Amino acid sequence: MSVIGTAPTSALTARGGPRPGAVARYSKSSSNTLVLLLPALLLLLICFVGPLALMVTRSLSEGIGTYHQVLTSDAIAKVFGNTIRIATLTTLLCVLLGYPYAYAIKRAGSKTRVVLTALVLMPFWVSVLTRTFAWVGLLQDTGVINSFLLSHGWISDPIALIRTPWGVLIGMVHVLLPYMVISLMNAMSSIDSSLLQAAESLGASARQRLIRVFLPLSVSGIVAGCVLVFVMSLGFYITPAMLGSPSDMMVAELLVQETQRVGTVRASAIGILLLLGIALSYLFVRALQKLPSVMRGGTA
Amino acid sequence: MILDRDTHCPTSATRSSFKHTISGRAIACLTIASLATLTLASCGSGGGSGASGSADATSITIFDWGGPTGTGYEANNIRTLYTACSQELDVEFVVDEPLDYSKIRTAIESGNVPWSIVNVQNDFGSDPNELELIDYDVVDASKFSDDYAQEYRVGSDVQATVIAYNDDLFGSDFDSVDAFFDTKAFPGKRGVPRNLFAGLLEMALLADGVAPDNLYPLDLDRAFAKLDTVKDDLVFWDTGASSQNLMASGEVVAALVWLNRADDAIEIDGAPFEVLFDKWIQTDDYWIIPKGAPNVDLANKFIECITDPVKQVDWANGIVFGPTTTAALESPDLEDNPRRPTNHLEGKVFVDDAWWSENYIDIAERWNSWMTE
Repeated sequence: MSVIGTAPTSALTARGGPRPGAVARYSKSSSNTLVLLLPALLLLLICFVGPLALMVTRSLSEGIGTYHQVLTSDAIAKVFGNTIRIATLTTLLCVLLGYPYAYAIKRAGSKTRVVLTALVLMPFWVSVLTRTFAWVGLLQDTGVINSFLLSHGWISDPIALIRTPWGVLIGMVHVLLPYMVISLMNAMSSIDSSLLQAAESLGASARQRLIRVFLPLSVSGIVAGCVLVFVMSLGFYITPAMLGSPSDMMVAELLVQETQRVGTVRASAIGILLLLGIALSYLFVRALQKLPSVMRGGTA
Repeated sequence: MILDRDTHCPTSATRSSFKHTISGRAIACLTIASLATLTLASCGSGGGSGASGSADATSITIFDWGGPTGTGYEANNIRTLYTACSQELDVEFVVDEPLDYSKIRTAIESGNVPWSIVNVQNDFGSDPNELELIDYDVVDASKFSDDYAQEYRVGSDVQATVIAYNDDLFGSDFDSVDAFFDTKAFPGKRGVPRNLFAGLLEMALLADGVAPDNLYPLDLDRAFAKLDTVKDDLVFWDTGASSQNLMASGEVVAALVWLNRADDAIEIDGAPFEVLFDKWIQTDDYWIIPKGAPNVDLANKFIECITDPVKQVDWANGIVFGPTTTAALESPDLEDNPRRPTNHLEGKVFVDDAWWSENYIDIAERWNSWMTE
C-alpha cells in the first residue's frame, strides 16, 4: 500500500518536481492518494489483469502441450518472424521520418509550429480503416498511382505496390508516424536551448551541436517513440491484411484465423507468447536506454 | 459472473455488518460487482442478455451475418422472415450482427447465450456440445429438400462459393475450373480467399483431374502442388467486400468468391463479370440453436416459421441464394434468376464438413506455411 502511495511523489521528485509545496501535499495525504487511485486500479484489474489471467488459464486448459504445439509450428514461427521484421522496419522508418519533422517543429516559429503540429494530428480525425482503404485505392494495380503512370506512358506494366512488404510499410508508417512525432516533440520541447547556445559559444559546429548535444538529450523521446510504435506495430491487423501479401502475414491476422476457426485455447497461447515477446523487448530497450547516458557521460 | 465467483464478495449475511465497518474488501467487491454489471450490460450483445433470463417468451434474439454479407441481406431477412414470423408468433425480435464464430463459442462456454437462433455456414455446427437438438415435432422435417433437416441444424438457404470471371476478356471460352488454373490461356490475376475454408483446395483438385465424388479426404500435397502453379498470379482477399472490390476495380480477371459478392459486383458495381456454374462449391447456411439458448421452444417455432416455403420464396426473390424447401424450389412464384445456385444443382460439389472440422488445425498449418513461404 505504502509503495503505491508514495510512487507519485518519488516520480515527481525524480523529474525535478514542480513546486516543493506540491510534493509535500502529496506525501502528507498518501491515504487520499490511494482512494484517488482506486477507481483506476480497479478498472485495470477488471479490464486488464482479470482477462489476462483468464487468458493464461485458458491457454493452459489443454495442458502445456498447447505451447509446445505453438512453439514447434513452422508456420507460426514464420508469422512471428514477419511480425517482428515488419514492426522493426516500421519503427526505423518512423524514427527516420519523424525525427527531422519533430526537429523542424522545435526550430519553427510559433505560427509554423501550429501548422506543422496540426498536420501531425490531422490523421487521427480519420479512422485507420478508412485510411487503409484509401491506400488500397492509391496503391492497387488499377489504383490512382498506377493508372496515372500508365496513362502517361511512363510505365508499361503496373508497379507492384499493394500486396508487397512495401505496401504494408507505407500503410503502417502512415498510421504510426504521428505517435513517433508526438513522443519526439515532447522530449525535444524540454531540451534547454541554452545548452545549444553554450555549445555554440564553446566553438561547436552546427553538426556537432546536433549530434553531440541535441541528439543525446532527445534520446528519451526516441526510445519512448520507438517502444510505442514497435508495440503498436506488433498488434496491427487491418493494414497488413489489406495492403500486404499473405507471405507477410502478421500475428494479429493469425489470431483472427485461430479464434474464428480453431478456438481460443491455442489463440490464448499465441497471445500470451506475443505479450511475453513485447515484455522482453521492452526490458531490452530499457537496458539499451542506459547505454546513451554512459556515452554522454564519456563524451560531454 | 466469473468475477463474482473468484472474489468471494460478501453475501447478504455479511452485508449487515457493512453499515458498521466499511472494510476495504467490501468496497472492492462492491465496486467490482457494480463495474462488472456495467461491463456486462455494455458488452452483452445488443439487448440479448435481457431476454436470456426470462422464461416467458415475449422476445427472440437472432444472430445473423448482417451487413458484411452484402447489399440488402439484412433488410431482406427482416422484411420477409423476421417481421412476418414475429407477428405470427406474437413475439418481439432483436437482431444481433455480424456473426462471429468465436463469439458464439465464448457465449456457449460461459453459459450465457443471448441468442435463441443463429445463422451459420456449413463450417459450423458439427460439435454436438455446442448445439441444441432441433425439435422435429415442431419443425416439419419433410418439407426440406436434400439433407437440409439435420439433427442439429436446419438449412436456411443454398449459397455457393463460385468462380467468377471477366466476361469481356474471356467470354464463353472460360468454361471450366481448368480455365481458372490456366494462366497461359487466360492470363491475369486471380482473387482467392485468404482465410482457410472449403473451396480453393477443392477447386485445385478438381482442376487437377480429381472427380467431385472422390475429393475427400483431400489430397493436400496434390492440392498445394496445383496451387503452386498459379501462386504468382493469386491475389488474396480478406473480406467479402474486398473480394467484390477486386472484381469491380478490375484488379483480377477471375476470382473464387461467395456467389452474392459476384452478383453484387455485377449488378451493383457493373463489373463485367459472369459466374461459372460448371462446378461450384456447396456453401449452405443453417439455422442452429446454440447450447443453452434461451427459449428453445420458441426457437424451434421460429425456425419452423422462417423456413416456411412461401416465406422462403419471398425471401429468395430478394436475394441470389436458393431456398431449402422442396415446395419453395418448385414454386412458380420463385423468380427465375440465372445466378441462383439451385438452378445449377448439377454443378454442385459436395463439401465434407465433418472432414474439414476434424482436420482443420492440420490443414491450417499447411495453409499458413504455404502462404508465408
